[in-house]
Amino acid sequence: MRFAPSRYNTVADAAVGGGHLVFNAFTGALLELDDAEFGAARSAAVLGAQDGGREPQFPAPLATERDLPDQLEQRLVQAGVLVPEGFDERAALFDIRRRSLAAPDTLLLTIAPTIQCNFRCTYCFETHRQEVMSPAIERDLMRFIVDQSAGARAITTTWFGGEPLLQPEVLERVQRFTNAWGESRALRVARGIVTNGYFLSPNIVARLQALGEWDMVQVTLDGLPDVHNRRRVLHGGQGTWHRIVSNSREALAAGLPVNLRINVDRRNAASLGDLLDVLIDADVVPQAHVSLGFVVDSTGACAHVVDDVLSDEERARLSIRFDAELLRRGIAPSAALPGPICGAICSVESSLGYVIAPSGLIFKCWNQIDRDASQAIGHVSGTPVPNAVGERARWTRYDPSGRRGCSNCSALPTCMGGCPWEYERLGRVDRGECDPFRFFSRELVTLAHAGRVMRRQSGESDSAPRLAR
Amino acid sequence: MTNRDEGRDFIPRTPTVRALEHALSGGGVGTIASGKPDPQRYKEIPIDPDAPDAPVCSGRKYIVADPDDPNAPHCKPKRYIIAPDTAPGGVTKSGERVAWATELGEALVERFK
Repeated sequence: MRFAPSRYNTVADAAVGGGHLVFNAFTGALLELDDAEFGAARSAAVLGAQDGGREPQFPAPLATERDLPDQLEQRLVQAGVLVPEGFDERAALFDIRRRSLAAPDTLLLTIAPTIQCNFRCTYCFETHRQEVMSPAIERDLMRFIVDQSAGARAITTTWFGGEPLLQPEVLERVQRFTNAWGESRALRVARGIVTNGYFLSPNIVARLQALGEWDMVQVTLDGLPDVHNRRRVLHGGQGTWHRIVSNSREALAAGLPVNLRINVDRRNAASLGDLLDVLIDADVVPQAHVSLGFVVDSTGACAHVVDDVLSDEERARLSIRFDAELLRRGIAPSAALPGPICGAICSVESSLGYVIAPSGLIFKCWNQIDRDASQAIGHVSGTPVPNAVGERARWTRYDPSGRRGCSNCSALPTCMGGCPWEYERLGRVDRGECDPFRFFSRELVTLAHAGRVMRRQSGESDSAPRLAR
Repeated sequence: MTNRDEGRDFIPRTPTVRALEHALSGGGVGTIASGKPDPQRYKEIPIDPDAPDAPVCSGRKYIVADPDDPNAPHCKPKRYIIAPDTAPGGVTKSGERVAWATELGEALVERFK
């Protein structure tokens, strides 16, 4: 069999040991090569100087006879760094995506028991009505879960809002039902919650833990205390930092996997290193997984923040800097090794992905949680909604394979076109919201490798938490 | 997902890897290989219902070898599991500064200021 170099190779320096790294975005494989192996791969033109650039070579380089030691060639082939002649990785990616979307096996539920929120964050994309899920809607939702999980192998529930912990009883009843239903049908049930952390008291933590193991508990901070307390405020404008940090510390001590999301925009980007020091002193980091979220003017409700929104490349730079700040403090970088996205990006893409509002309306995207029936694809009761057909069609049109920018991008396997909502909102023709990997693939591979080495040395798991979206 | 993580090589068990393996075995391009994982990559072990990370299934716990394999019956007991890595363990604790990490971190912070 003859082989050609993959379109999706990135060559980077190893973080430790002085060796070389070869990452393949199509397979997600990472090889460590010593100087001799790296030299041999370079001499045989397996790895070019351009690897890791923004534009991969299309068409792929021609297959040639290569003079490589057998063992090295075998490693390169198994990692996908070399692919069989004629193997079209891009076509294979889209083929895998199509197959996966055609046969989803996980019911992805994002459930908002209320739209109410005790916070009034300055950039929130929602409008907070006094809306709580009624007992009748709860029953309809349970029937909906039964119906929709037929044929599924797993159910993922992500609790969202508003603030979901304003209605813990609704959460408990629906989650208990889902647990029992899943167990009776041999379905794996995964749980996550996005909360502002204000009500994450020891009592609530115990109640959540009584519902089973949680994969992800996301709590948000907005920077140093004085910055946070101006942005994430209660109705009356009071700050929330100390209570959130105190609750997070206790929740972590109780074993809840808290992921601290740091919301960032132009106004608070400069102080991330100082923030990490404060969180380390507060005994919250490194116990909590910590990662960046970027403030985006995603809906009309937060259009006023547009001037503070960072560009794709600025976000990529900041992501690298944040991981470097972690690293210099002896904490593994937050970014995991990028991997190929082989199925639905989020509930929008999955035909079994639903965002359930407290009214029982069913949407596809989290950003629609406070919308009216005109954007819904259905209702958990089965009551018809006016634009169900149009709204379903709106999202099924999302297809990165038709976009020249995305389908020719070296980051395609790790992003597959990015967030559907942002693609639609940004209105770019050729590409959507770009992943940091597009801009700084070499640095990200080096950082992810550093994280792997550090986790391995400390005996930690190498997986990063994920949400249903 | 069960991955192969052998020293210097990390090969995740992704559908793309399966597609590549299928192509390598002459099965054509773009199709997803299925079936029992390659025995070279898995160690047969008895089912351990008491394993702490075993998923709950029909009231009993089983280890699943490859929950992401589209053809794997998710909740049937499987007799194989990836050979666990033996973590070096205790070399460093998270938050304990390591010279090479500090050096790399500081260089990148400076570069991406």
